[in-house]
Amino acid sequence: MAEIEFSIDTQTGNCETKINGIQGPNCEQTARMLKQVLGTPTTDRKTPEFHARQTPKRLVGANE
Amino acid sequence: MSKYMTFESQSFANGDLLLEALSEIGFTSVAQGRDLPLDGWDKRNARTADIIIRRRDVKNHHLLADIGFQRTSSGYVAVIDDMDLDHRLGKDFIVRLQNHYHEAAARKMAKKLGGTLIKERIGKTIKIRVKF
Repeated sequence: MAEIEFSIDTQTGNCETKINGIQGPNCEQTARMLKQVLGTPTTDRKTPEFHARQTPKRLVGANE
Repeated sequence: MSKYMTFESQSFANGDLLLEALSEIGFTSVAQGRDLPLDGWDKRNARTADIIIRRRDVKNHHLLADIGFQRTSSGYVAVIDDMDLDHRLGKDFIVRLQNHYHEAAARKMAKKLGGTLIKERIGKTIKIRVKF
């Protein structure tokens, strides 16, 4: 299940967001939605999971 | 995790969420328009704003001037008299507003994505998880 985690520092008013469980273009789309409501981020970092490619499932034939 | 962003700006990107946050800290009577004059500012330093809390509408705060939010390219920026901020609203006024704004943003994202929202407080941090 995908998740956005907001961490709001009540002392400074700063907000960190982490988008978990989404890769590639879908993650960018969610990030765009976040920027629409929160403005321009001061830090914007993609993590290795962002670039992860789904491994194609290997088809196993009857004669293997 | 696939993406990490931090938001530290003291401007408010979304007008509706700003109104929601203002309402949550007790400012429900708000005037909206474009470049409306702010009452209470020195004529030599006249200021305008697009979202205004009129000092006459919040008499209990005994404000010297209206509270304004001017729309800029980066969002709405507060226009508040220094004396009001220091002695009447409290120096943490913007931080309190930011906290409520960020919570309202999380609620909006949950609604947009058709997700569920879990909120918990850990010390000085509010953690909100939107699952979708």
